[in-house]
Amino acid sequence: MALKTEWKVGLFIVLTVVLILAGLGYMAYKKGIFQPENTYTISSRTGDGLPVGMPLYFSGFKIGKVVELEFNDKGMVMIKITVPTHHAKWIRSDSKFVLEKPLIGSPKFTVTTTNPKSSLLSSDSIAILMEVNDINDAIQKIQPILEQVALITDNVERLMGSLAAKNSLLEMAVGVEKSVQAIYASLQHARNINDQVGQLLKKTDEELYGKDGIIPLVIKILRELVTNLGKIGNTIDNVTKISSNTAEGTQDFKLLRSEVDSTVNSLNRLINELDKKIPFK
Amino acid sequence: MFDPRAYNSAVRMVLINQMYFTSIQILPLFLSVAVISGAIAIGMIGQYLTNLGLFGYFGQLLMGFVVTKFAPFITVLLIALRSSSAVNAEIAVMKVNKELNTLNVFRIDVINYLFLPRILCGILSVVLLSWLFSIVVLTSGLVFSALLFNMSINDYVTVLLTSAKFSDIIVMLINCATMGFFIIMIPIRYGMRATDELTSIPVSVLQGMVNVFIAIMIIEVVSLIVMSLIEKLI
Repeated sequence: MALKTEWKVGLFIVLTVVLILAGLGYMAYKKGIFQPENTYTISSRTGDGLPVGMPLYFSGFKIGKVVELEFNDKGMVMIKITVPTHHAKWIRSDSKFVLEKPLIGSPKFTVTTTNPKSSLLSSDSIAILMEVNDINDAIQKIQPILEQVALITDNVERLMGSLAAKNSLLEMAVGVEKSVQAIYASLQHARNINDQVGQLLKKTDEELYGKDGIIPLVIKILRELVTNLGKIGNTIDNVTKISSNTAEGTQDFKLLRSEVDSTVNSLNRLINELDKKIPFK
Repeated sequence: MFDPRAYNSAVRMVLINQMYFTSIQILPLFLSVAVISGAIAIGMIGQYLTNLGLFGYFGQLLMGFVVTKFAPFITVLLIALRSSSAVNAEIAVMKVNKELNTLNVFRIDVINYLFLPRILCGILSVVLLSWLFSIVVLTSGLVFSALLFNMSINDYVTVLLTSAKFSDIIVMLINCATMGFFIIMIPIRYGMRATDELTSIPVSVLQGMVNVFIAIMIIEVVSLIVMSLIEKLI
């Protein structure tokens, strides 16, 4: 029994420890901990935004990391990065190391290689770090706009001050009080003239087209004249019928009749024309 | 604990027996709980992340929550429920029956003979079983991810490896060892508090278990703080 228990416990411990070590070992292998690494040095005027352990990206893939930051005698920051040997082929002599500082989000350390046929970067050579600072770029772009905004704000302030001090917007715009008074006077005069012209026109209108005006009176007279001429025409017809046997008289009356008809027609046309052209109120 | 002379044959035998009672006997129940709770946890996490459109964080949640927090917590709970209460009751009974005095009379070191193997067993059991729990959970996660989310083995392993951090695993192991120490140490202390009366045995077990759970909570909180501090430093 004792042996059996010892065996069980021993087997359990050994198996579990093997599982732990295998898991950790596999993880370490997959993470490239056992792989040999190349070390490169990059110089920068500042180490700001470059903490130890920061990953180095190539085409979006993590290929290395920052392992050390040193401050040399010339005041430059020497950044040491390690790249696994199998990724070292991407680091060429013309590779550019860029620290991107986006407006939003954390900085990103990248390397770009334009010519993959150029010579490999030596571990002894020192590359230069370039900085792409979106925040500063954005501030530089915004600066002129901000100046314009400041100018506008000044003007608005001045306007508000003028509004507070002067009596009206016109006075504020012209600035000189006497000029404003002159403009006021001119405007008043123009308004008086306008009123007078309006009254005159109204009067003329009433005299011409009013209920007792000239034009309606003329039309009324003409209508009465047409009516009377119509009556005369009827009388002439009757006389024609009565004196049909008198040849000479008939001839004269026929002539008179045609003249009356012509006059009535002319007057009707004239009235119609007047009706069309002068609408009564 | 670190003196090799303390581990004589008698102590080794007690240690082996304690390991057998604490780690081997519990295995069927433990593995069943690991498979079931792991499947539930992974299914729920994956489903919620899919609904929220955050499935990209699946690996981080598996490694950051299931492996480093959930697995040790469930392991400690199971061992505390089963072994801590047993150790507490055993020590209290020995105290009531004056067996501890007898050992002293025979000049047997009570600490070496009784306490050391149990504490060591607690530490080893929690560390080993937590790791085992994690492996079982991740394996069941592999099956359920393939069934529920159509993830291939390669994708699953890559997601886990990308999210795995050595610092998290080291903190988890230290966390497990600390909890393993306290979930046996506290019951021993409360077992030793038992008086000569039999009625003091359940009282000491009750007090011991309550304090074990408080200790587990405190250690969990402390480990969370330590993990966040490490992340800030790194």
